[in-house]
Amino acid sequence: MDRIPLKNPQVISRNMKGETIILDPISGRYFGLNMVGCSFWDNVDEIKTLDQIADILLAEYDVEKKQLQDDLLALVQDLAGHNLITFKV
Amino acid sequence: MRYNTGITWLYSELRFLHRISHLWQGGRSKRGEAGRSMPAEDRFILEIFSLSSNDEIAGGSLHNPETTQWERIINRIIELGIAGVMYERMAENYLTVKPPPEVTRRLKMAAHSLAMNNEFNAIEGIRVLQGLDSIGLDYILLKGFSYMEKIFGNTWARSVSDLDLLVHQADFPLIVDYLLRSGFTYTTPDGSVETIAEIVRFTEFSGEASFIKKIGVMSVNIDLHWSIDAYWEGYPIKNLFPIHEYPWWDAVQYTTLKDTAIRCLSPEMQFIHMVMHFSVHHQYQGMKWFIEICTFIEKFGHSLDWDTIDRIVAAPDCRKALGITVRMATDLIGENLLPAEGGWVRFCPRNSLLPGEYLFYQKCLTGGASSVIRRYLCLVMLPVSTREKWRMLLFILINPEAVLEWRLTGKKYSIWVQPFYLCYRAGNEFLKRIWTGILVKN
Repeated sequence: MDRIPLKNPQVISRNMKGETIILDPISGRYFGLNMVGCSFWDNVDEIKTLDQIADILLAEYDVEKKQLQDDLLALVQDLAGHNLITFKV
Repeated sequence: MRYNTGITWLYSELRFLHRISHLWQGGRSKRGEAGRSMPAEDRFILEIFSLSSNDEIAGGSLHNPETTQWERIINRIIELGIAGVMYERMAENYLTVKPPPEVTRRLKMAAHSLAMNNEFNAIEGIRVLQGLDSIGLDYILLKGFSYMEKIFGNTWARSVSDLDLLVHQADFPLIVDYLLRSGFTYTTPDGSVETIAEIVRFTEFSGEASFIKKIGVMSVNIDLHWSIDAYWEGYPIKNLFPIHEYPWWDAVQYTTLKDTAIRCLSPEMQFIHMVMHFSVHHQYQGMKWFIEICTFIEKFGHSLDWDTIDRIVAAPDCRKALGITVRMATDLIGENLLPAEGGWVRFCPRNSLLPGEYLFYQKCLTGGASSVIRRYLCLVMLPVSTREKWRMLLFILINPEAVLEWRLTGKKYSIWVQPFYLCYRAGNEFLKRIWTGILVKN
């Protein structure tokens, strides 16, 4: 959780009525993030670690820390698996 | 805030929706799905649009289709490239007739797909426009993004398959050079044209050239025009509709696209261009352009300088085309949205049309798939004078220049072949419509 996520500079994203839609032009695939995923995506800024982002989301949503961390890791794996984010080395 | 454990979901099937929506764009229809006629769906879409324009309670006056009908309607909306605007309009609370949730979800996904495709086109398009600015080459962005944000409030109301740029003819080779250096390739029917000189020579009759740049599986398309509707070079219609002579470069304005200043036409010239593009270039076939015109009138009808439009659109045939379009729009969204003195009658007097002619133009709009038969009929009907109608008919029947497929491929045939070829095209289309109609019914 101390890693810093980076958005793939090639992907395009935009917020539409509380949902974030992400397009990877290389694969042509579209991805949708719900409000929580959208909050995560908005906080990926090349500075914050996953831990710091989790703290922000924890303050924003009514959820247990453990559950949030588990969901966040699953999301990050999903996003990384689709080449939408990488991690700062 | 409420926390949803399902933190993410994927839109893998959107790629499919995105492809379907492109089958119909720019008249590039393909066999099969696009050959199907869907007048009932088209009329229903217009009804929804009309009711949402008039702020009426729709429940009483609009029948609620069954789920299968809704699916066909939503498929048609997606194919027409208007998922964005229709999703917005159908989400309005006053529209009590609504599709089932699963159908609504499909429309929403299509709207999202369209939005991202447009986002991609806008970002890549802005790069090109900024590049042209940096080397001092002038352009005007036509259609699509040049007014979409102003009239719809977003850049995803309808699909934008390409960016149309009007450029000076003298700058044309320089801009072609810039695009080729920026990774674009020129698209020709046979792919044989490559050098700048060849491209310039090849576009002499069409006045426009298309370029494509592939990024992954996506592509951005730029259409360069050095003349508006030079496409009609050699057609009798070119003299009747002197659109290319209009003052397109006068009163050019700036608008913003994703916070970038871009050059576009003044509202009056934009309106004229939209109308002429829909009526003369596409012969009243193209729902997305019609809906755009209606929305433009909704937003700007009161502020447009109708006297300027009246002065510029001076040729009787152009006035007729404009009058018919405005009449169709006001029939849909209401006369009160058009403050022009005299309304559409100012451009096209009631007694100037043949019996049933207006109905024919309406059929062109709601007749389903783009039709070659309607296209030729429309070209014959549009001229004001009977003499010009006959001239147009003879031109279509015996002049090989009238057959676009022959013209693009440079094929030469005897004039005796032409009427038979046109009969073959018409018969082929007619049979295809009957056949696909039977398939749809079954």
